Amino acid sequence: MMFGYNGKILHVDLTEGKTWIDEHDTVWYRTYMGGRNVALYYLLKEVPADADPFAPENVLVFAASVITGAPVPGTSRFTVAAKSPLTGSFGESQAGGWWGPELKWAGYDAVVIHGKAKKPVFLWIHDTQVEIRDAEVLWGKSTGEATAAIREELGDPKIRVAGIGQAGENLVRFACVVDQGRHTAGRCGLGAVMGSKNLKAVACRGNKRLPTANPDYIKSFAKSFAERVPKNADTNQLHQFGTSNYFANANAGGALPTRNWNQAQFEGAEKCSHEAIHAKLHVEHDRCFACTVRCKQVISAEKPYHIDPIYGGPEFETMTSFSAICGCDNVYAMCKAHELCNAYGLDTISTGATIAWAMECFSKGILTEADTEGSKIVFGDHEAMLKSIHMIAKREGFGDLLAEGSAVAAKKVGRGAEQFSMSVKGQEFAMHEPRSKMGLAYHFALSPTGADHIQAEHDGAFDPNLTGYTHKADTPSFFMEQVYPLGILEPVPSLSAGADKARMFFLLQHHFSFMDVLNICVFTTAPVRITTFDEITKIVKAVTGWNVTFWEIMKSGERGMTMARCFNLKHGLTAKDDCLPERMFTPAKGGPQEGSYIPKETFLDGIRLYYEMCGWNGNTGVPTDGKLVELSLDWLRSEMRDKR
Amino acid sequence: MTIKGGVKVSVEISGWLKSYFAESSMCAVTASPLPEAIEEVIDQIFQRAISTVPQGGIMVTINGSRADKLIKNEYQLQDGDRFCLIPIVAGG
Repeated sequence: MMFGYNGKILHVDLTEGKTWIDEHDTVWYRTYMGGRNVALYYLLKEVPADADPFAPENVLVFAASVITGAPVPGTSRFTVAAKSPLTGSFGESQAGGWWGPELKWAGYDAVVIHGKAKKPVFLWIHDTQVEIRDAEVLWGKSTGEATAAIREELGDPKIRVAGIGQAGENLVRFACVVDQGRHTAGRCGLGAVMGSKNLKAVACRGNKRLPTANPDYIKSFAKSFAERVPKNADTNQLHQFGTSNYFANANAGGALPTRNWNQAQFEGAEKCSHEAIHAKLHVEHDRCFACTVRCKQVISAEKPYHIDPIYGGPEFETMTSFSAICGCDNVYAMCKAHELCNAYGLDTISTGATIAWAMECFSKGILTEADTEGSKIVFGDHEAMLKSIHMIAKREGFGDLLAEGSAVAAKKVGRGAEQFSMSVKGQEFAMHEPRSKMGLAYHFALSPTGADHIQAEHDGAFDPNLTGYTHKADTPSFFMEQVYPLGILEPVPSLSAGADKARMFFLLQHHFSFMDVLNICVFTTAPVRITTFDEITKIVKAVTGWNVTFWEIMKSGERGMTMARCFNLKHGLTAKDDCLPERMFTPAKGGPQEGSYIPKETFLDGIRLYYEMCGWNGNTGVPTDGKLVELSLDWLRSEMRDKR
Repeated sequence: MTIKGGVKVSVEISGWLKSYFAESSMCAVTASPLPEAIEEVIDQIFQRAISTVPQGGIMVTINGSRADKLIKNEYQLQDGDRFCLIPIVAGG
């Protein structure tokens, strides 16, 4: 008997208007498990090496995992993946909410979308039935409006809708996919891939709850998890404030990127903190399926801007993207920017960082009013920031250039603008300062999807120089004890970028990779939060009935990283793309970490060591035959042989 | 080795730690040099917590600089030095 999953992958060809189903056996499911790995399996098989991300040949995958839909806190997420129009590499993003479980209950573990519809459509998946429905009246609507219209058309307010706004329709290269107006698969421009296929939304509704192998364990774990939420320092804060509580800490610690990474501390941070949000705007709380952390904030306001609560509230990344990074200290404008991005379907990180790039270029005279139709776009001008968001989503005027993302825009502008694009592989940095926590240098450089901050747990948890708890092996800190099962027995300073950090990153990255394979939320799990690695193993066992080990789960994470590497190599990326902007090798300014910088030679040596730890060639980063065979990826050997 | 007469330092609490204290700014006294002084100061402050502080990581800055940098530079504590206890920064 099959527990936890359906055994069915739905395919939809929008060009031909036809659908079919792949059925796989247990070996396949146990090898790939879900999320990242299922998406990469199809992307590697289906997307030709020279495919334009906006061409019908690109394939878009929505994937849940073998455990999604079981009532386990922190397992509600789903993956969206395709060849990214922002980076030309593997494009992947995850979102929480309810869409993932609903897809499973509707009868499918993943949806693979091929081709391009002749006119706007949306997919309606319900209790194994699939319909390609007309969406012409939805085109041009915001994500919230489209969700409401689809629910009304189909007569069910509980339908889950993952869709795009005008940004995706207009092929903004960092357009995102938004579920229910507030759960976003934000990064890599996957909303633009939907737009290129004339696909407005994928709506799901299912009534079939999947049986699990050990429901008693799941019930007892969920109860124990709920009891631990207020006792854990981080989840207790997430419960009250969401990730907005990180903002003040990052600023005080000198890790808050400010004015396009020119400074590491923002003098206006207090005006935009979680305390300011709670003092000045109405705040409620929302949650994802089965989760008692309830970290989602929902904000609303009438003045000075109307802010619609349907679009949720800003997380740490969004707060920084529309405050410190643009030098703006207006909490209302910051929250309005969040609302606009969710309504238009824009990635808040790339939107804020691209505007910050333009602001720096303007301050240096590289961009002038001749480029911006007479507008000044300067640090600290929140009205210019908000205006830019509208223009980007609609590709109006100067917004048409910014809609390409800072890296492509910088190449078009020239005149030295490239040095101010804080991006890797074409994707903008997330809102963290690698010079203050140097593991982030590895996150940004080695993420297969371009600069990304959720590649691994961050350095601070394992820094022996941060006081308040001990890192000694005989009396380990809470965090260190959690990572012993990964083989991390010694702490590593935040300000190390050497071999010790490369090793720690390698192990922690494979941990986060399996979380992306199983679609587990990092805000619920070890090492900083609640669910331990042992419990994760027990959860997979309890849902699927498989006698899995933590080793097998870690291997699934490693498999994901190597498959992503293969996808990028196939699509023309090389080791040269695993780099950082030169600014990171110069001293940081402001805050308690003033003067720190990434030591370049040490870091480049760390990258080589990382490749070798992965079983990839130390110079080229191409996986060896042995590693591919070990990970049951021998079907990729011939393609990789050509890359050596 | 001790500091003769001890020193009185101010301690500011940042971020989520504030919710465990009645006030966000306090004073502590220590006669120990760095790095022992840090543990003493934290102990004194945490005794004033209104509820048990969960396990977590804390960055300590002194006069706006990371404490470990000052330790490396053999900094001598003085009356009026400003400590700040900052919860570690996680991803978001």
